[in-house]
Amino acid sequence: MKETVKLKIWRFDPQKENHGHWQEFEIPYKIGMRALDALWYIYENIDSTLAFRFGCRAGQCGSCAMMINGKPELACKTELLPEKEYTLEPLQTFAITKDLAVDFAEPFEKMKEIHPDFVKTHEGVQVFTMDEIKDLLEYHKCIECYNCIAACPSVAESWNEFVGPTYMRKYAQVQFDPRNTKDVFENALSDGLFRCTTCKACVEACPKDIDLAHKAIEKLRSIVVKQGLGPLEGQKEFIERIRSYGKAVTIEKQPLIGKNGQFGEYIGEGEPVIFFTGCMMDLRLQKIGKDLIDVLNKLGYQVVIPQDQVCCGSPAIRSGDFDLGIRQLKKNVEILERYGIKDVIVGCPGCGITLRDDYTRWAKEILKRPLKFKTYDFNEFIHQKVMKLPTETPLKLKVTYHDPCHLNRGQGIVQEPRDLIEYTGSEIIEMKEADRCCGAGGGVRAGIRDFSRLIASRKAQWIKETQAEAVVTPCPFCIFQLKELVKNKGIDMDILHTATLLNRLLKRPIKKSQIVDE
Amino acid sequence: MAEGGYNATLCNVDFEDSIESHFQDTVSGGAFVNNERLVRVLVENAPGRILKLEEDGALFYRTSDGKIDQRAFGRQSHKRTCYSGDRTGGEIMATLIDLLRASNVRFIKGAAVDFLLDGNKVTGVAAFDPEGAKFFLIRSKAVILTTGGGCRIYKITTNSFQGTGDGFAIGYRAGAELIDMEFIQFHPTGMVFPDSAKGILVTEAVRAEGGILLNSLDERFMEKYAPDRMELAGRDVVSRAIYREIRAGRSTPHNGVYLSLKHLDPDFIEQRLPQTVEQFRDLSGVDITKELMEVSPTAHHIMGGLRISEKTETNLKGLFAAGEVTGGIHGANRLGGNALADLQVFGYIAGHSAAHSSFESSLGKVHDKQITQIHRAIISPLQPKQDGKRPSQIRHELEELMWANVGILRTKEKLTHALKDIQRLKSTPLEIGNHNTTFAYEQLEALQVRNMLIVSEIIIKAALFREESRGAHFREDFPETNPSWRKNIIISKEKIHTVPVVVF
Ligand SMILES: Cc1cc2nc3c(=O)[nH]c(=O)nc-3n(C[C@H](O)[C@H](O)[C@H](O)COP(=O)(O)OP(=O)(O)OC[C@H]3O[C@@H](n4cnc5c(N)ncnc54)[C@H](O)[C@@H]3O)c2cc1C
Ligand code: SF4
Ligand code: SF4
Ligand code: SF4
Ligand code: FES
Repeated sequence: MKETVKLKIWRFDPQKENHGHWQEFEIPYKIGMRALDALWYIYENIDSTLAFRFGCRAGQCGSCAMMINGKPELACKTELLPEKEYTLEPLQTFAITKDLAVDFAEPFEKMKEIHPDFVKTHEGVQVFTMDEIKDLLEYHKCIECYNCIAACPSVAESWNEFVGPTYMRKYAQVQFDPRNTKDVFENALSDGLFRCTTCKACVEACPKDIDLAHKAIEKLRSIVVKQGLGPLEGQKEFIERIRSYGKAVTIEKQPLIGKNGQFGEYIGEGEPVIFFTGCMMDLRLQKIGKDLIDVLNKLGYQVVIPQDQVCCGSPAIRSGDFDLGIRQLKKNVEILERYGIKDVIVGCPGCGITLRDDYTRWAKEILKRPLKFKTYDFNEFIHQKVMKLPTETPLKLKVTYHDPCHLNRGQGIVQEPRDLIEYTGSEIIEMKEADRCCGAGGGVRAGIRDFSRLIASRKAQWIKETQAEAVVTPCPFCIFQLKELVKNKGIDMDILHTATLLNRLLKRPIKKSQIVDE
Repeated sequence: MAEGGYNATLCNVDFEDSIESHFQDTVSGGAFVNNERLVRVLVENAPGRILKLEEDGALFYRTSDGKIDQRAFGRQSHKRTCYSGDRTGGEIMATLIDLLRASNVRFIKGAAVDFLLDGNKVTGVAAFDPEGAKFFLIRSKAVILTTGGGCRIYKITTNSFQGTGDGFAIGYRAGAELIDMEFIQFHPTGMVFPDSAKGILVTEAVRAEGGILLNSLDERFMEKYAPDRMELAGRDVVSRAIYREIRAGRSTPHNGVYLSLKHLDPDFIEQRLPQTVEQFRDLSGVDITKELMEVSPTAHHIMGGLRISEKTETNLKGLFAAGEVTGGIHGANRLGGNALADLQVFGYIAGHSAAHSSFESSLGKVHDKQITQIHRAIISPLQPKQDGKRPSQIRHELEELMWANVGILRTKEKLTHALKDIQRLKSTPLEIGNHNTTFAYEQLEALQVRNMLIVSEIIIKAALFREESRGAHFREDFPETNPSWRKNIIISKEKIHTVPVVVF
């Protein structure tokens, strides 16, 4: 038989019925086929009542946006593969007109409402270099497909309070256009600027690769902060702390490092690597920090911990205090570069994304040189080495995995932690939407605690459904958020970092000879 | 969506350029049958409109000294094509939509079906909104027709799904005169692979930035056909060259020719042609910074359309038209980058003309009989028919026959054959399977197919009438350009005739 593609399509006519239903189709496969071709095939050959939108068939008009396998995509750009199954649903968050067609009038009107008039500085064409308009052109690339709105966890909880990514893009477009004299950052502020968790789900969903989280939201926040209208009250505390003693959180129990810390500068033998602990592992989750150091030691690394390292600045940067972020960068770069060691390991994805993205960008812009070290997430760094180890007595845990936003979309690390879990002989029961934001990021947990909890609450059900014994998630922030979540919802589950899981398995130090090198 | 650029004599890059040169290029590119008065209006106003667009928020790419950059497009004597990456049309559209959003202009969703008529005055529009299967009327003192092109009548086309040519047919039914309908531009470079991407435009910017065409023997074949301008010869010339290479068997695995950028720096390609890089990567898995593209001609633009004055008036009172639905500006072959200029220049004029005319007139009459007729056409496909066919079936047959018989190389025989087939399709009753009232798309498709058949018929009639080859119209049985045919063909419901070219 010829190859086929299977589609499960959500059918719903709100004029006629109260509930929708799934309908399955199996259609002939054609090489290079896109989801839109499949829909056309069904329309022409099987059922002409199937409703879906389309326009350019070239990824340029945004009409064909829909959920494909649970993610917002453009149907005309989504390639289908033979003998695979796909689910097609209408773009979430929007009112359904019929089947896969949603009502775009509402988002269009919203753009009209927020549309801030462009007040010209002068007549005619302004002189610009391409460099000056590079970012502006990125804002202009939007095709208003609204994929980003459908992807946004904050919009999903309350579109009334957070207008959403593409509208923030529009604000940024007007705010940062030097030809415009009118400020709109206050409108952005009242439209929920601080409700974004910087989870980057919108960036992932954007067919035009617009960096909405940084170039729109964080940049708008930085203006708001400069004008003294931000950050939020709850965020001011940690910013004040970073400013006064270099760490984002208070010192409550014995720190991992520093004057009164549990660890000195050099731990163990072997190839030296720097461990950038971040505030959470230093001051809140010391046990995890210790696990991480142990694992590195067991794998044959000497762990070098600069005792005077300070907060990476992530909490400040995400909530718009770029100046403080830059101050932290300068301090840390000096500290980290002083050893002449190339590899820097982080166990906190928040630090990871900051060292990787923000530091790299600012190093270029401010220090005018590349960094002398390279940052690795812990999972990524040890992955290859661990996968070559002989197997140990399996832990036989049943766990589910939550993808930290700043690890998954932030650094593209998805498979490595899963492989590590499997290496421990544990079974992963995937939860629904494992990569949906837990609500802790972007200063939202500190700034608007209730809202942050609301975003998290969606995960409770899915975590519970897995009936796993523990949730593994290699991020201190997610661990805090999820610990609180399961406690409040009365779910009896441990929340573990991959380092902890591995440290339980790798009991004795591993001899060099056991590691098979390439 | 328009990608490559907008022609305007800004002289930012090439100081030798002039309005006069833009005029000459347009008229000679159009094989000397353009309405020269319209061309004047075009070239004189193109710079002003683009500057206004920038004032309103649009951004075009810059030269190193910070001015709007300009590049060379096909068949132009100077670098005069302004652009915003390869999404120039998108940039213009987004700017205009924002302007509209900031205004109090009302948007009404729906497809125009026919004009309301009182004698030869257009008094409004009858429209259909498929979302609620609603038929409704809009009465107005003036109407501007801007429904764009109609190359969807061809199997392989760059046009979006909306390019069904409704406006030509709506105007025709109402008694409007159409000019130059035999001139269809086949863009030399459309994608050929995979099927779902067939016809999608590979912007002329690729050749403007240095892309070269090769056949399967690795020969740069444009040396044979246009040794001077090479890849940047007129679109008609390049399309015929590619077509001939393919017909002679020197084609690529997917029946096209190669377009190569391999001699250019990958970073330069990424920066100048981001959308094309993305397009080939996403749609056919080809990395154009390293691999060859495969391309072949694709139906792109209808040069003809409603006959308009310099003020965009048509022969019907109260009806103004602008954009691709009009004819006369581009003659027998449009230059790349001239359409965007055309839309901005004439769209602006149309707005003014229509506003002025509506100040001076009152709402016209609406005739019940006509409304009943229009309504009947809308609901007719809902009734079961003997031998009825679905609109999509008819559409496919039409696309095939237009591609095979009314394409790049034409003959009397093929055209006559096509005309017969169209008559047969026109008499086939339309019947649809979707009787829904929530998303009655198929009902809309039936209306579009009805229009597509009319547009095709008009094109064929004009193509048969012009017994010579000129610009994009190539008759294998009349391969030469005949000076006595330097005139325009006008078609209306009543008659087909020729008129002398309007010279300046
Ligand atoms: C892929 C591509 C690339 C191009 N690149 C360039 C370029 O680089 N430079 C250049 O100068 N030109 C270019 N062109 C040509 C140019 O884009 C078109 O000629 C131009 O967009 C036509 O504009 P318009 O406003 O007349 O119509 P369109 O832009 O086609 O708009 C017509 C509108 O009318 C609507 N419509 C149609 N029928 C109805 C109806 N019955 N009722 C209600 N609404 C209706 C359509 O939905 C559409 O929104 C390109 C064309 C294509 C297809
Ligand atoms: S980063 Fe996340 S929370 Fe912020 S706008 Fe994007 S999707 Fe929404
Ligand atoms: S920002 Fe991206 S995802 Fe959002 S509407 Fe625009 S193009 Fe679509
Ligand atoms: S991102 Fe890392 S260093 Fe920065 S506050 Fe968080 S835990 Fe501390
Ligand atoms: S059809 Fe236009 S973006 Fe998919």
